[in-house]
Order: sequence, then C-alpha cells, then structure tokens
Amino acid sequence: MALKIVKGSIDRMFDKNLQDLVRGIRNHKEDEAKYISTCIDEIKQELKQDNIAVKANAVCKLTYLQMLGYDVSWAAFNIVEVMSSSKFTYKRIGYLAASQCFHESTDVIMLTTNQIRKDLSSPNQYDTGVALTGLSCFVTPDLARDLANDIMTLMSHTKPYIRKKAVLIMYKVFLKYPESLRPAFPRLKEKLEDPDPGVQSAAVNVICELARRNPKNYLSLAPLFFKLMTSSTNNWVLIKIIKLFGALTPLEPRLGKKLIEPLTNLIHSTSAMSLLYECVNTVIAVLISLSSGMPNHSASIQLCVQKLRILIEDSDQNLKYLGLLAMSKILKTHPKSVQSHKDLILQCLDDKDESIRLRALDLLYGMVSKKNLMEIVKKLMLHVDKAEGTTYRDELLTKIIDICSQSNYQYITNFEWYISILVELTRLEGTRHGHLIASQMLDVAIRVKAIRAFAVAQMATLLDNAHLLTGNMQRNGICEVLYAAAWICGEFSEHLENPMQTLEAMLRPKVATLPGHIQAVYVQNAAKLFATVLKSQEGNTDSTAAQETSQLMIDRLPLFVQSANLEVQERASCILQLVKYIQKLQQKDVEVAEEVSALFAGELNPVAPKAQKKVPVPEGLDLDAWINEPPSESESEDEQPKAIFAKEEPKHSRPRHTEVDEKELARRREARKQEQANNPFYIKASPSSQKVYQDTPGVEHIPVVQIDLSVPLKVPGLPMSDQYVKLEEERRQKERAEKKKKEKKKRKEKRSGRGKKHDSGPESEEDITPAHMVDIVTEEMPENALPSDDDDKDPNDPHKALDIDLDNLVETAGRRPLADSEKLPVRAHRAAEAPKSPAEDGDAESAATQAPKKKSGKEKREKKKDKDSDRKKSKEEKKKKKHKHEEKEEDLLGGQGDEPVVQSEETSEVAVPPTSTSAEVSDLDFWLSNAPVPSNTQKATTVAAAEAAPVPKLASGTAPNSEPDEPKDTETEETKSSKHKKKKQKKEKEEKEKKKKKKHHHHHHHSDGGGEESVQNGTVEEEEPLPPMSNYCLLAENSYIKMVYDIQGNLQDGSQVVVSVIFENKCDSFLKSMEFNVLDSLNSKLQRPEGSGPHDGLTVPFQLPPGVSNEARFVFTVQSIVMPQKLKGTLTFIVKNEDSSTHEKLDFKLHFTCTSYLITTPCYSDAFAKLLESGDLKGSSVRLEGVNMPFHHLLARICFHHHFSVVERIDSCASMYSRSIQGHHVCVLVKTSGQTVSIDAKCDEPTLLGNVLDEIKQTFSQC
Amino acid sequence: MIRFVLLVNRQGQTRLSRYYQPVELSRRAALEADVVRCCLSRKRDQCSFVEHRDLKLVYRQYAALYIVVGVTDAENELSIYELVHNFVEVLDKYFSRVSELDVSYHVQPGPSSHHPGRDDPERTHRGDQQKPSPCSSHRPRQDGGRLRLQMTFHSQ
Repeated sequence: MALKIVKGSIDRMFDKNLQDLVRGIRNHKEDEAKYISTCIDEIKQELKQDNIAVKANAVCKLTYLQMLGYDVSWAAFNIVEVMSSSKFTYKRIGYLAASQCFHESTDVIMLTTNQIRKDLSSPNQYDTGVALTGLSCFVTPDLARDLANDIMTLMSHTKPYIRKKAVLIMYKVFLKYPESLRPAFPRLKEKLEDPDPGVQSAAVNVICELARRNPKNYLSLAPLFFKLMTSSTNNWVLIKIIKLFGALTPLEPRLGKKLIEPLTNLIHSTSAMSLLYECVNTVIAVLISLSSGMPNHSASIQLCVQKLRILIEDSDQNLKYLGLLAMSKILKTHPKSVQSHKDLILQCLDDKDESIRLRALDLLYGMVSKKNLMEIVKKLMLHVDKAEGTTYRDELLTKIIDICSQSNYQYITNFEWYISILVELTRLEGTRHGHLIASQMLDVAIRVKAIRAFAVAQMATLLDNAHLLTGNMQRNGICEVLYAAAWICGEFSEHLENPMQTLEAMLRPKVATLPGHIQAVYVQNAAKLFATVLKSQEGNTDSTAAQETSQLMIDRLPLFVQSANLEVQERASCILQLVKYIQKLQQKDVEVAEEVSALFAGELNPVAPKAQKKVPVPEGLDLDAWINEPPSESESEDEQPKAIFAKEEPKHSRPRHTEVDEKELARRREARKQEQANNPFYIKASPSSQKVYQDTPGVEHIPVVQIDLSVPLKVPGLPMSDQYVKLEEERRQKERAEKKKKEKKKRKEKRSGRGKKHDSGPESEEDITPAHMVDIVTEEMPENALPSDDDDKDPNDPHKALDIDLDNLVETAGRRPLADSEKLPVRAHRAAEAPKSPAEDGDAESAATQAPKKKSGKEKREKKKDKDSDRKKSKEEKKKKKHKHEEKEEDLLGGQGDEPVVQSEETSEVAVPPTSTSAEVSDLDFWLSNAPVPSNTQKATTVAAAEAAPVPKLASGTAPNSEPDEPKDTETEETKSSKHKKKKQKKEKEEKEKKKKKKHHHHHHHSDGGGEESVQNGTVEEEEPLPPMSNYCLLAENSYIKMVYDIQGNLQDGSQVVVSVIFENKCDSFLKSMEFNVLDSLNSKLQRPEGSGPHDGLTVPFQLPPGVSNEARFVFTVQSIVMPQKLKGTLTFIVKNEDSSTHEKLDFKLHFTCTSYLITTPCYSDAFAKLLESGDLKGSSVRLEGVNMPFHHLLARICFHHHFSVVERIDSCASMYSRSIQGHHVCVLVKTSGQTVSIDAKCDEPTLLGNVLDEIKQTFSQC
Repeated sequence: MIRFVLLVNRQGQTRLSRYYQPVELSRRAALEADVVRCCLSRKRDQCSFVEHRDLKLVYRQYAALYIVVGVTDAENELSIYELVHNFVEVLDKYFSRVSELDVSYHVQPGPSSHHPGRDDPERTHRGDQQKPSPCSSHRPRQDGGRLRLQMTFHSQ
C-alpha cells in the first residue's frame, strides 16, 4: 500500500504541471497542434488515475487548453470529481474548470447539486465562496430551483465576503428560476442597507440590473435609492443608482422632477468623469421623459450641454467620444441647444480619431439648416478628399446624402448645386455606394422637373467621360452611377444639346465591360436616344444623316446581342431588329421618326411608393370573399379565422362573426399586410409621412413641380459645386437687399401699423427662399396606417419572466406576505410514495382544508379591523402633514414624516434624504408629491398631495383582493394596469410551485396553497381548493425497493427528456451499487457517459440506508415524439446486511407518454389567436362524460398532469396551450356543461395530438 | 454587465480569457479574433471604446498587453475603463511589477511559491526576442528584457 503511494507521488513528479504545459506550447510554436494533442493524451492518462492530485493537475491543464479553444467537454465528469475533492486547492481548480467549461446543456451538472449544496454550507468560507463563484457561471434552472433557498440563507451569512457573493449570484438564480424573485426580494432589499459597503454595492448592482428590464416593479424602491444616492460616497454605487433612476423616470415624471436637483448638484460637485457622464446621461433621460412644457429646465439642459462641451474639448479622446455620444441624445429633443455648438462639432470632424469623426458626423445630421447646408457639405466634401480609409470615406458619402436628402430635401435651396455635389461624389475612388448616388440622381431628376435640363447635361458629360469612372469597374461600385446617367439621358433626351454625341458615347465598345444590368439600361436608352435623334434629323432635308444614325445602331448593337447577360441580349436583339426594319423604311424614304418616338411617348411620372395601395377598392368588391367555393374541408377555418372552435362554441363565434366591423376589417388588413410583407413578389411600400387619401388615383394628384429658374447656369465641363456656394451667397444678398427695400417701403406705407413683423437683422431660416420653387412629390400612407405596435421586448429575453410584482412584498416588510406556495423549495428527501387513489385524495384534501379555512376566515376579520384602524391612523397623519404643509412649505420639501426635518432656507438647496418610517417610505405617491416645487405653486402642490393620498386607498378598497395579508395603501396605478398580465403569470407560477411542493410532499401545506391561489388569482372565493396532485407514478416495486418516476422534457434540447426516479429503500438493509439500465429502442436511448457501451448500465450516484429515499435523474434522447413508448429496464443492486450481501434485481417498464414531451409554455392570447389563424394546425376533439369536479380543478389537472398553461378563461370555457420539446404547438379548448367536458384541440402533428388527447382522457377516467 | 474579459498581446494571442456567460467554443474563437482585430488596429490617439455588434468593447493597453472588456450597452464606459486600471493595479501588487509573462504563466489558481521563469534562462532568451515596441516603456532588467506594464492612468 505504502509502496503504491510512493509510486504515485514519483509518477506525479514526472507529470507536467500547468507551467510546463505553457512553456511547452511556447517552445513548440511550429507544431503546436501536435504538441497539444500529445498533451491531451497524457492528460487522459492522468485522469484515469485514482490520485486526486494528479486529476486536479490534469483538470487544471485542461482548463488552460479550453481557454485556448480546445474542446474539453469530454472531461466534464472528471471536473465534477475534482470539484468534490475535500481539499480546497483541488476544489478550487475543479470549480474554475466548471465555471469555464460547463453550460446549461452539460448533463453532468445534474450530478453536482448535492456537492454544491454541501460546499455552500461548508464551515470554511472559502469553500462556500468558490462554490458561489463557480455556480454563477453554470447555474441551470434545476440548480437554481434546488439551491435558491440555500443561497438565500447565505445572504444573511455572518461574513460579508459570503453575503456579497450570495447577493450577486441571486441575479443569476432569478434569471434561471424567476419564481425565486418574490420570496427572495425582501432579503435582497434588506441588503441595500447592509453595514458592509461591498454587500450594499452588490445589492445595488443586482437590483439595478433587474430594474432596468422591468422598471415599473421597482418604482416603490425609489425613496430608498434616493436616500442612498444622497448619502453614498461610493462612485461605483452612485453610477448604478443613477442609471437605475434613468430607467425609472420615464414611468414616473414626478420622480424626474425630484431628481433634477440632486443630479445637477452632483454634476457641479463631482470630480469623477464617469459619474459626471452618468449624471449628464440621466439628466438627459429625465428631461426627455418630462414633457417639453418645462421652461425652467432649460437651465439643466444648458448645464448638460456646457459640461459636454468641456468633455468634448478635453484632450482625452475617450471623453471627447463620450461627450459627442451624449450630445447626440440631446440632439433628438433639444436640437437648438446643440446647434449652438456647431463650431465645436465641425472641429471634431478634423479629429485624428475616426470613431470621433463618425460621432461628430452623426451630430451634423441634426444641425443643418437651409442656411448652413451648403457650408457644411462643402466642409464634408473637403474631408472626403482628405479621407484615407475607404470606410470613413463611404461613411462621409452616405452622411452627405443623408443630410441633403433628409425630410424630402427640405434644406436644399439649389438643386443644381446638389446635382453638382452628386457628380463630384462620383469621382470618389473605390466607394461602395455608387447605387446610393445613382438613386439620388434619379430621384432628383425625376421629381424636380426644373432641374432636368441641367441634370441631363451633367449626365451626358458623365457618359462621355465614363472611362474616368470605370477604371477598374468590376471592383468599384461607382459605375452604378452610369445606370442613372444613361437612364436620365435617354428618358429626358429632349433636353440634350447634342444627342448624337451621347448616343455614340452609349454605344462604345467599352460599355460591354459594364455589369449586365447597366448595359441593359444603356441599350434601352440608346433606343430612346435614337428616336430623338431621328426626329431631329428627319426635319432636315438631308436624309443621309438619319440613315447614318441607323447604320451606327446596326453596327454597334450586335456587340450587345452577344452579351452573356440575358436581359441585355434580349433587349439588344429586339432593338436591333427594330432598327433594321427602320433602316429598310428609310431606304424607301418613308418618314418613321414620328412612329419611332411614339414607342417611347408619354412621361414616366414619379409614383409614390404607396401609390399602388391607394387604388381604391371598387364598391361591391370584397377582396376577402372567395372567388370560388372554398374547399369544403377548410371552410370553417377560413371563413371564421378567429373562431376555430366555432362549431362547438357558438357563444364565442357569433358576436365576432356578425360584427365584421372595423376592428375585424382592420385585423384582416393587418393580416394581409403581414402576408404581403412575407411575399417576395409583392411590391412593398416604404413607410412615409401620412397624408389624406385622395380620390383620384393615378398621376393627376402628384404635385407638379413649378420651378422658376432664376439662376440659369451653364457651367461647362464638370461642375464645381463651390461656385454654387458663391452664387448662392450673392443671390441671398440680393434677395436680402430687395427685401429690405420692400420692407422699408412697407414701413413707410404703414408706419402706424402693428409694428414691424420682419426683422432685418440676421437672416432667419424662413428668409431664405429656395432658388427653385420646388414641389416635391410627397409620399402617402394608407388611411389605416397604424403605428407599429411591435412588442419591442424580445420573447426570448430571460428578463421577461422576471416581470413580477414586488410591491406588496416591499411595502409590508414587517409582515409575511408570501403565500406558502411561493416559498422556495427547501431541501428534503423526495419521499417515494405511490399516487394516492382518488378517494384517498379527496379525503385527505377535505380533512386538511377544513381547519385552516375556518382559521383563515377569522384571521381575515381581525386583519380587516387592523386595517381599518391603520388606515385611519395614516389618514390622520397625512392630514397633519397637509396642515403642516400649509403652514411651512419648506418643511415638506425634502424630508417628511415625524422626524425633525432639516430646515433649509432656499428650495434649491434641498437634498435631504427622506428619513422616515417604513410605512411612509412605501407611499411612493406621497413621497413624490413632496417634490420640490417653486414656491408660487404652493397651492397646487397641496392639492396634488391631497389628491394623491386618497387614490391608493380607493384602489385598495375596490380591489377584488381579499388576501389576508394584502397591504394597504399600496396599489399604485402602475401595478393596476399590468394586473392582467401578472395574474396570468401568477397562475402559472403557482401551478409550478405546487408541482414542486408536491414533489417535496409537504402535505400540510397543500390546502393553504390551494386556498391562497384562488384568492391571488383574483377569482371568486367560492372555488374550492385543489386536491394535491403528483405526477410521480409507480415504476416498479419489490420488497426491497420502490421506484416512482416522472418524465420532463428538456427545454434546451428538443431531443432530450429527463426521467427523475425516486428510489425508496423499503427494507432494513443497506442498498448499494445500484445500477440502472434500460434496453434502448431505435427511437429512445438512455444517455450514457462517453466511453461506455450501448448496453452498460448507469450507476445510481448514491446509496440508500434503510428507510431513506433519494432521487436520481437520467437523460434520454428521443427522436420521434409523436407516439408514446415503453422501454424495458432493470435495476440491479446489492442488499447489504451486517452479515451478508446479496445481489438483487428489479425489472421495470418506463412509459414515455406523449404528455411527457410537452413543456408548460406560457402563451398570450393574441399569439394564441395568431397561431390558430395560421391554418397549419390540424384539429381533433374528444368528449369526456361524467366528470364530476369543479372546472378550475379540471383545468388545474390538465395544466399539472399534461403540462398545459391557461391562455384565457371565460366562464366554463378555457383555452390552453402547450408546446412539445420539438416545438409542436398544442392548442386546446376545454368546455364544460354539466358533467360533460368537451375538449377540442389543434396541433401541427395530428398523431401527437391524438395521443395527448387519449392521455388526457385517461387521466380523467381515473378520477 | 460585463460579458467577458480578454487579455491579448500585441500579436493577437489570447493570454487570458474569462467569459461570464457561456459562449460556444467555435463562436468564442471568432469573437476573439474580431475583438482583437477591432482593438489592436486602433492607434494610441484613438479613444478606447469600440462598438462591436451588440456589445461595447472597452480596452486599455499596457505595454504589449491589451485588456479588453466586453460590456452590455447600458454599462458606463468610463467606469469600466477605470475598473480595468484597478484590475491592473491589483495584478501589479500581486506579482510586484507585473508583466505579460506573469499573466501567461500564472493562470493556475492559488498562490504559487516560486515564480518559474523569473530566473529561467529560457525565458530570458524569449524576452530578448521580443521586439521593443515604440509605445512600451521598455526597462530592461538583469533578468532580461522584461516588458513592464506601462501605467498611464488618467486621473479622473
């Protein structure tokens, strides 16, 4: 034995440790992969040894390799082994490896629950710490559920080191197991006032993270945070708190008002830039949330902008960047205040840092006006020339176009200038945005009629110089511009000065190297040009010119006929034949020009993107009606899309069907829109400004451009946009001068008038008249345009589940508002018990409920009394306060309550933390109504306070809640509005809760839980409490052991189910070496650890002393889930007495029902309706007779046993939803009348549905 | 929230990585390559914040070592920036004048009594190979060309 140890340690000496590995990798730069693979082989050998030190060393190396990107998931089990070492140094290595390598779908995680629990309760704080740290990285929903209670206990540990970690990890637990939030919240809140600053900071962090996602539930904490904010000196904490306030203020503008002052104080006083930045950001958020009617806040905005200016002017690039970032937030709401810092922002355009320049560019967008557009663009053009990187240059280009084209070319006064800019931009090399320039050219040329002549001239020059653009055109996108140029020249060829020259330019052989779609446009427009040329030439007496033109076409076109591009080929050959025919006619001296140009007659008018939709539906035409008789099978579905269960449910469908009213129509329209959006062949419309629909469709209603060309410009060659800037200046000066003259005249005329309206001072926006009077086609929106009501919350967002009402918890800190059913699962051995017979069930239930029910009634009455007296008290207090308020307004400005209020002379200095009793803190409304206000509105505040106070009382008075622990004066408006949603969640939560509890067999709690539920649901009290239910059913039993099992789908993996088996030792002997084995079928396989054969059994990871039970879980992979299945299996074990030990075995049959593949998934009614409408689901129904139980029991049973969730319940009807692990939707409508229950169901997999319904039937036939 | 912390050297090799949310191995490699490309290509005079997909990267350079922190959008960049420096100060205290080699050799948790490589000839050799970069404050010591982390801390 001793020899073995010595040998082991000698072996160890030769093992590589981590340092050797790192060094080795560095020394094998050339064949690193090979070296590492030999290392991994060594590690595999080391892992096979029994010595834990060797294993730990191996795992340590693996962790490093994992960091380098090598897969080490095969060693997961070894990591667990090292984690469970008793020595801290090894344990730490194990936890580190686990935190790096494990994720939710690592199956060995299931084995760690007990180990982690042991470590959490270890007397050594470092064991606990390392477990907490590791757990935070790989916590799964199961771990979270099982360990939530332990972690919660640790939140009150004596050591701050542990408290801090426990608080932080609670966030991860909440994410994975949202049910834990409510029970854990009071303690979490306590930690906000922990004496240790580390713990306090951790709690602030967790709550901030939670509150950012679901702010409304945390509004009631505002006073507490306010206090922290004004008292804390820790900048990290302050930043978090201020961030939190930023999230809360949009919900409660009064809070914003209260915040402005302390925040501005902080801005003035702090030296930490990070804090300053956060304050500025939050002030901006606050000001955005406050309505604009707040004149006295312009000071705050000014302060922010000033501070930001300081940041931007700083030499530190980081500050500059952030300053610009924050500035862009202000820009959205207060563009004026930002515009005054134009100089600074333009200066930033010259910054050496590209990201800063980009931020500055973002800001420019909001700063342009008619007056400065040219100037700004000129500056940008300079940058374009200077810019080195193509990405930045492209960014500049798009920004220039964005700035110019924003809000329908609002700021452009001279379109010739704009065209010149566009043409100048084409000289950019290597830009990707040729198409952008092209579309702008097209847009302007089409929509601004007056500019066409100019545009055509420019485009002709472009075509002439096409070779300049197309240096290496395959790679550069600028040749896209030629597309626009060719089209404009062809379409508006009447404006061309020298069409013949352009035609020749378009038929150059080099054109054939352009991309196909551009060639196609060239060919088509060459034909248009040809028509124009013919027309002009036929007027002449000499017909040879015309014939030469035809010859030119005939000579050049064959090049395009040979094109590989089909479009080009087709157009070219078509036109070639046409020209040949024309030539024939010309030779016969027939005049053809008229006819040829007739081919291209008529103007192509701009059509608003939505114009197609504007075509009114003729009267009597119902687009939704069937043209042919619909196929009989799907008739009901299609005609009554919403009421899928129509035939069984006349109550529901009739009203909907008869009132095919606006709502219905709007809905149909919406559906159609959806369909169109998904249809790639439907020409989509882009969103645009709303406009009233005009009756006459077509072109008449498109405003025609009326342009008075005051600046006839003929700039030869390529234009220089700069010239326009000068010209524009001159023009404006002239205009100004004229205006002055006019005004003088006017003034002279009516000196005694109402006074001067126009100020001849600096030129204002309105004074600048555009050079061209431009009417630009405005785009239209359909009359039923709805604001997009997209839910911007991601359905996969884990925080959605954390939208839990915490108010009544928070506010009755002293009491115990949690329902028993909401308590966290406490560790207990899962006692193995066969499901009780229904009769027993009933008895147990009635016996258990009677006593507490009576009691609770009594309690209720007592509480009510309490409540009343409490309420009186608080009323009195408030009255007193109001009184005080009138006497001395300053008293109430900052503080409140009975404690002496700090007196302050000036309102502006009030930043007194509200030090008050917990009951008063809870009254958010009251706290907020005391916000500092200017003294002249004193009366108004009093009224506001008076109004604010009674409202909550009323709310709680009328609430249908009779929960005994229901807190008073707490129901804020917010919680009420979201009640509906919450109710649903609560219901589900309770369902789950109960399930869990049942697993733990806390029988005495059942009745309470049931009673609680009916109340919490807000439903009527007459509903009876639910009987206890269990999903565990007997697997096998003999004289030694009993096994019960439950099957659950795995949320993460569509092909996995987890079978939880509870083993109960029934004999007086020790059971050990249990091995669980199953004969796999083709469809279902037991997941075995890597390396074991397909017929090996799995060792159950525990032993059973007499009378003890424990649970083990086994993962199965399944392929098809539509059919139920049975798997045969065996459990072998050793029964050990003092004197003997025998091998025993027990056969069993695992029954995988279809139900076990379903996962309780919440579904909102609108999503549910959409699902049913989709028409992908096949229906089926079943009828149950003689079901004798209350409807809510029935529903609960279906929910519980078959993993459904209730979507909607109306009287004796309820729709329910569930989803299979492979994503099949199962929708069920349950209806009851008398003792008959009808269940209609729909699912995209009919076989699955049939089986599920059979199973539901089975469940109720057992009752 | 912090999503990950990366310590990368100038050659783009990851010296240390820590993810606070599991990321698939394959995605991890791509992400690290992206991050490295984003940050290493930036010059000294550029700001330390980069937007990358849905994350913000905050990085700081200490001699040849870059420390990159990936944070969610709502995080305060400056506070993370300061946090990185705090982290480096801690490293510096622990290793007493930390260098890139410390970071690469001491990934093993737990205090180890001897510092391999401190007086390791092979390491000295390696140190010599490293080209001194213009922005690293290069202070050669008797044990070879160890690169010191340059502390450039804007007092904020």
